[in-house]
Amino acid sequence: MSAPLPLALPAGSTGALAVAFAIGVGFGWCLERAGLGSARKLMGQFHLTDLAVFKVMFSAIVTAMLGMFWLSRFGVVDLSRVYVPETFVGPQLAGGVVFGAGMALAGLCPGTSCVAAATGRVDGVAVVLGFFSGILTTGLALPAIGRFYGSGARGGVTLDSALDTSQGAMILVIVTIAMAGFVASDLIERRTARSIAEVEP
Amino acid sequence: MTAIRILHQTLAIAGAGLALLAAAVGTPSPGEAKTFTRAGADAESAVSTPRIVGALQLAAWIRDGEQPVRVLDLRGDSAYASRHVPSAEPADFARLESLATQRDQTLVLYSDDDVRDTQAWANLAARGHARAYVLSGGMQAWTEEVMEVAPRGDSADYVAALSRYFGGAPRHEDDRPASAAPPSPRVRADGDRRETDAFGDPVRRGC
Repeated sequence: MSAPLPLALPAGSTGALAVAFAIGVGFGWCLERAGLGSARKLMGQFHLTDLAVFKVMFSAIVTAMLGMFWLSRFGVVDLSRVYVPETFVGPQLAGGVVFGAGMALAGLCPGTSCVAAATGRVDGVAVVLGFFSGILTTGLALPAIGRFYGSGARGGVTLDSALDTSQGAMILVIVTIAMAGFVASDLIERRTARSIAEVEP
Repeated sequence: MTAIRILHQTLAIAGAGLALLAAAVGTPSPGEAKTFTRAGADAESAVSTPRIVGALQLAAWIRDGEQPVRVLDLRGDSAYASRHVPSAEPADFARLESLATQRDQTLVLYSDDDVRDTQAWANLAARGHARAYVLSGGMQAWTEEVMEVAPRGDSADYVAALSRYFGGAPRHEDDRPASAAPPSPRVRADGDRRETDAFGDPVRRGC
């Protein structure tokens, strides 16, 4: 586990697994309380009737980003222990398209499908089975697609390094985008509600 | 105005304030004006980016033996059996913890795709291994840059000798195998006719 917390727990140890389990339970609880275990909620995103997914996810990003920055600044967490996943341009673009299509079709993403499955929803169970099948299929096909799988490697790129700016300046830009997005999503939801009300009086 | 709206606005103001302060201070690490992942950053600070070692450098480490190097092959048993970097040990994630017990030991990890070795490196780095490296380009780089290298430039002799030490076949720029005009093996004074490299070391047959 590459947790930034000062836990000094070796990966795979009981303590590390317990911390990972606790974080997972907390994550699932937050998703469920935000209503994201419902496919209708996620589909509202695509119909512009309910942008809760955007708001929840962007709120989480902004909270985590500010929290990590300032906790690091005060010496509570060690940001250098955070693993930055590598960028593979082509494979990740292709994966994004497949992921987005699956999310729009299923109405659930991996996290929310686990939440839905845990609450006994059959659609959640189906999506969980589906994505495990996809992982298995990809693994079996890896020898054939290995060249593409590793293509376009750019290393562990972060926005601030790619744009040659400071992390603090990048945070301000993202928070500004988030604030504008929250205001815009409220306006979009109201406008969509008005349009629906006009069509269905 | 409802209480929830007041809460939202308070959080928004707090977030904006923290973001403005973040922009003002710039970096999350007091006293450091650098990011963690920028290319060329100090290796000790850039631990979110794997520490890389080139194939030629690894070859020199193994041959010279100035610092003990432990090389771990993460490609699986069949690939390892097919060929591997000399002195490498087969390893997998499940055994990493038992294999890499000494945190100050120089470790070099390699695979075929630079993904498994990078993940293994991150795992080891998170556990405090300060001297873990990823072999850039993995087994393919070892083959191309050491075993079948086409030496050129001022260091051509050095590279060719390094390649031959591991049983490689360095090629000339015109792609003719160097073995077409092999250097005469040095004959040691004691009559031992074992083939030696440019440094007088016995040629070692590797993978």
